[in-house]
Formats: sequence, structure tokens, C-alpha cells
Amino acid sequence: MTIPKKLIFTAAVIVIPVFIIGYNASQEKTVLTNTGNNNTNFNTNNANRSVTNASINRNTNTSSTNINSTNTNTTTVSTTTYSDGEYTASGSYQSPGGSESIAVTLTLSDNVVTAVTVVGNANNPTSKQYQSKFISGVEAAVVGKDISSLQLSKVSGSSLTPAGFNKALDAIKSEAEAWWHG
Amino acid sequence: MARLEFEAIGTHWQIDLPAVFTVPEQASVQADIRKTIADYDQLYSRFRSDSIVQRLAQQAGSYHLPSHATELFQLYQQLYQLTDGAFTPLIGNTLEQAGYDADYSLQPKTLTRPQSWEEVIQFQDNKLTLTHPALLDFGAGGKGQLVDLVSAVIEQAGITDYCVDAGGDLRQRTSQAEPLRVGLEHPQQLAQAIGIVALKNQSLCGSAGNRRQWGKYHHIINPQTLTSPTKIMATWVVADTTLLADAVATALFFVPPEQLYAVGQFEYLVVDQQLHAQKSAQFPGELFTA
Repeated sequence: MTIPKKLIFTAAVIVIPVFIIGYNASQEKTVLTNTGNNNTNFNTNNANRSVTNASINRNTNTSSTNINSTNTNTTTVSTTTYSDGEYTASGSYQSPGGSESIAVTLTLSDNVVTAVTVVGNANNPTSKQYQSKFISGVEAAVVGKDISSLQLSKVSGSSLTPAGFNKALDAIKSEAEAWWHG
Repeated sequence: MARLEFEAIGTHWQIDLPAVFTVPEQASVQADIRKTIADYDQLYSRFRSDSIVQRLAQQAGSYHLPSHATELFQLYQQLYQLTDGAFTPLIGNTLEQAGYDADYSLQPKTLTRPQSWEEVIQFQDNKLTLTHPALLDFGAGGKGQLVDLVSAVIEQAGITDYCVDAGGDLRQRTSQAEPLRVGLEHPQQLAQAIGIVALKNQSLCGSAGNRRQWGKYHHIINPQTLTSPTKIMATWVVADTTLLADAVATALFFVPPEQLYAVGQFEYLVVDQQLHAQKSAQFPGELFTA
């Protein structure tokens, strides 16, 4: 499968600025506020929308002052149709702690990014933290599946309560009902 | 596998051991496990009047604790600092005031803020001193540590493959390739799971406000706001010790995971009230999404 260079580059440009911005946030004002969740949401949302000019331009423009290495000012994105499949981009950036790298794999389907995996290769502990904040991301809402269908050995959740507690709960519930109906 | 099941410290225990023991060996391990639990209960249980914590709630003073207290107090103090005091063992009186008392009255009274760690607690060389009477609560990490202590008893008997499950807080050791498939219980639909963790030679603890919940409170109360956290619905943590996994699972109701990295290596899953899940990169589980 051919890997369009523009896509690798674009992916790297989307991803790498997060770390620069996050890393620099403590030292200088940046356009994006550095709460880990905001950065993460921002990038995850972009990854899940179609790859359009608007998304990429916005990213590139806000981060252009902070990137040391890569060519930051290319803002045109072609309207080429990308073949469905997986594309991997690796990028490195300069952090105050040194050179760091990260690899992004995108899955494209009908020109829409349907999955993103990120592997951080940070060495510096602060970079590790920022990369980890970005990577953990915010998943879509979870849904339940019947436990009986899942062949599980164990289940973990909040601790099962003793009979005494359950009795007490029932007692206050019936008190509440009695008051209401009484 | 032979399974040992019983109630203790307010929850249901399941301990899986290899079936190859002779009956006397099994009986001996069982007895040691029960004793370990009973001794721990006598130290830290809020639900019996003869425990050390209840005595210190009545009168300031000092007690010599077993050597495992060092790890417990060190972790609690570190989490206290990392959460700016939100995670505190001094929450015991407040929990009682909210109704989560030894009788499970579940009738809230007026809540008061606990004092700071430095004002009350001194811990040195396994000696605990409270300078003012106060009810300590170790619900956040005590069960986790007890699972580790029970596991130590099992390992001392030469057993290498086991699983200790205390109400869903698990520690597993295996010499086999297959991990343990553990369902992550849906906090609102208890017959469902929102994902599966592949647990192998680690501990997994979960925390949620669903079961121990009454009126506007559940079993976790913020000492600063005197309310139970509402943004997070459930947390799970995987770590090498059950003490760490258990305590961090509670701390995650107060602060984001990044704030806790200094306590040690852990993987997490945090689910909020809209059922959005955030997990660490190496969290050993798959989640079910729409």
C-alpha cells in the first residue's frame, strides 16, 4: 500500500504540536489551554472527523509559533481520495528535555479517520507524562454486554455489600416511601 | 482449583487455590488466612468497638502496629499530599456523620470537616500516635492491603498459582500463559460488563459509588466540600500490589490520573457520569463501545 507522504506529514503536524504546546504551557502563554483533557479531546475529535482543510489549518496555525523542526507553514491539503487502510506516521520534536518521538497510526475508511493509535517513545519523564495524557484520550461512551454471554472468570466492580448494609438500605427506602404515602 | 468462599470485612471473598493439596495442608492455609484477616480487622475496622481505630476515636494516644502499617501509612500520606488533602484517612468521623456508621444507620447528621494530617497523625517506626481523638477510615486501601497480606500467606505455603478476590478487588498469580478474564461491571446495570480486563500476575481494583449509596451520599466523601463526588461514576486500577490499586482507585474520584503518577506504576480506567471512559495507554482491557 502506498503511504501518501502528505498524510504522514499531516498526521505528524496534527499530533506533534500537542506536546510542544503542553510542554511549553508552563513557561509561556499558548493559544490552547493546557489541561490534559482539553488537548486530548481536541486531537481525538480532529482525528475522528474527516480530514478536511479546516481542521488541519486550524491546528497548523495555532501551533506554528511553537514548532522548531518540521515545516509548519504548509497549509494546503489536497482533495485526493485516500485508499482505505492503515497509515503510519512517525514524528520527532524538540522538547525542552531533548528530542522525543511519537508514532501515529490512522485507519482510513472512505476518507474518514475511523481509528487512531498512538505510540509514544518519550524518554524524558515530563514528555512521558504529556505523551501519556495525549494517548489515553477520551473514548466513546461505553455500553454494557450481558455478563452471561462473555465467558468471564471474574467480575470486578464496587465491593459487594454485606447483608447488614442492604437491610439498612431497604429500611430507609421503605421509611421514605411511608413518609411519602403516609 | 479449590475455591474458598466466605464473608469477611463486610464483603464476599473467593480464594482460588490449586486443588493438589492434602486436606491438612489446605486446612492450615485456610486457618492462616482467617487469622490474617481477623488480625487486620481488629486493627482497622470502624465496625467493631474493640478495634484500634475505634479506641483512638475515643481517646488520643499511641499504638504499636505491625510492620505492614509502614507501607499503608506511607501510601496514605503520599496520596493525601498528591490530592491536596482530599484523600484522607481522617474521613472516618465524617462518614459516620453522613450515616455510614457502625450500625449502618444511613441517617445523615451535620457533617464536619476533618482536621489535617499534620494536626492529628504521627507515624514513626510502626508507632501510630493521634494527638487528638479521631476516627481513622482505611476503606480506600485497607482491603487492598489485606488482599496482599492474605496472598503473602498463600505464597509462604509454596503456592504459586492463586487468585484472591475480595468483593471484586483481585490479586492473581499464575505460572500459566492464559490471563484471567475479568469483566468490568457496569455500574448501573449489574448484570452487564462494560469491558474485559486480561489480568495476569497483577492486581485489579474497582471503585464505584453505586452500591454503598444512600440519599445524596456514597461511600466516598470529599473532606473539603463534604459531598460525595458526582463527576466520576467508576474507576478501575491495575497495579503490582492490591494496596496501590485499591487506594488509587479511590483517589481517582478526586483528581485526574496525571496527578498521582508519583505513587508508582499503575494503569487506570475512569468512567464518568455520561459513561465516557478514559484509560491509560497500557490498560490491559478492551472496552465495549456503541
